[in-house]
Amino acid sequence: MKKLEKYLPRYILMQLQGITDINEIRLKRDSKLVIKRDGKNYIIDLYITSDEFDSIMDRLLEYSYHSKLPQVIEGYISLGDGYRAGIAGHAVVNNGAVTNLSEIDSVCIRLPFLVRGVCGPVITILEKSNFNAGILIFSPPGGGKTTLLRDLIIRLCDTPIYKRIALIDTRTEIYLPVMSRYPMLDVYSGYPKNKGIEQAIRTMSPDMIVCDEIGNDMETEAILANQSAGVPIIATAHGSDYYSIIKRDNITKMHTAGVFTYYIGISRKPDSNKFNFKITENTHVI
Amino acid sequence: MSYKLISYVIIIGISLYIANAIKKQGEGKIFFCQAMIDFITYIKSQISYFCTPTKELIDGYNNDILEKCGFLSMIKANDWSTAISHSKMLDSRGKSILVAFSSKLGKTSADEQIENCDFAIESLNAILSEYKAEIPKKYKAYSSLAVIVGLMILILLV
Repeated sequence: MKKLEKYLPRYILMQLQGITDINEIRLKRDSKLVIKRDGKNYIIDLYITSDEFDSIMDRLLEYSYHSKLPQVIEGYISLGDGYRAGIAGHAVVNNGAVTNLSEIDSVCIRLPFLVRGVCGPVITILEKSNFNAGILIFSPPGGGKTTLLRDLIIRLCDTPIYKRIALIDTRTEIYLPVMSRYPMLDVYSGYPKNKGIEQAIRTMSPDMIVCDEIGNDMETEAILANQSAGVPIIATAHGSDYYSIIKRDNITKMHTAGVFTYYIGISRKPDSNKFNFKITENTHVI
Repeated sequence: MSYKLISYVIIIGISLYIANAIKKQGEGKIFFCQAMIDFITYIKSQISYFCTPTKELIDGYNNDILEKCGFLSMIKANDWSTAISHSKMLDSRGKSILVAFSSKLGKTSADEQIENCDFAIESLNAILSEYKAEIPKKYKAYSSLAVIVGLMILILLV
């Protein structure tokens, strides 16, 4: 929460003081504050006026809308240290592409947290394949993919596994400052996934590449091109079940090409930071 | 007679001192205005070439004139309104230009920021030209006035 002192006014922070395990803080213009905690939404009796909302937005944008515009167009503002603010508002569209936002009305600040010891089943299947298998982790939004990915990255690049990991952290929400102590971890922060993957393979000779939320054409092309380089990829995607995931155009392409050996669906165990895992093996892998 | 002459010299001296002070103040305004134009030009180039965040581009800027009058330190503390209202080097027109400029700084896209900078530079340049034309005229007028007042007093005393 200390990180948020820079962005949120004191009266909001005071209201949230003492509330533990907050996953998300939602702010809406002329509306009440909402927090998400343990997967449940709670409405806080604190009204955010339009002026207050604008002032918070100025701080989140660090009074530099011009330098944050590429992120704003993509619907988020990276706050660093794993914090990310998702935004929604009125889009300015030019030739079918969003070029600007004329007004921002909602903000969802996601608070990162590191949970250790949750990636055991993923490590087991990676060990079985001698760390040579691609993995796609999926769950609905807020299902814990990023949390799992953080634990997995630390396990992979720490003793006794010691693999060279290239993390493509496009939205700067996976990497936490605590990860700086791992010398086997190279972070491509803010890179578009396709560029990050290309550069990692060319210059850093990773044993594995990790990235989150894949799915667009450019990313698919980069991942398919990466396949010939022989570096396994661990990625995440939004989705609730294996069959709906592999029906998506770009994931179908990667599935058919055998990019992922395993598809792992995760869901949170009730009242716990642990996950349920549903592992499906890709029979297309040659 | 010598008493009268001393009085005459003192009066002329004071008048010339006032004229000189007015000239210096005018020059200060010119230097400040020029420094502000340089500053906004720097902001424009940083935004157009690097999309530098506002805080970084202000923190990374140094200018003796803006520093000495405390303007730069105030805007580095993100207090544009105090910096502008406390500035003695700006007239009301200059202040309103900077208020409009600062209210939009960092709140729009890069293209709009560049337009905002261009407009402020253009407006400040117009004021600067006026200052440059105005100050020698004022100095000349006050110097002449000093001599005339001095002569009148001398005549009255003689």
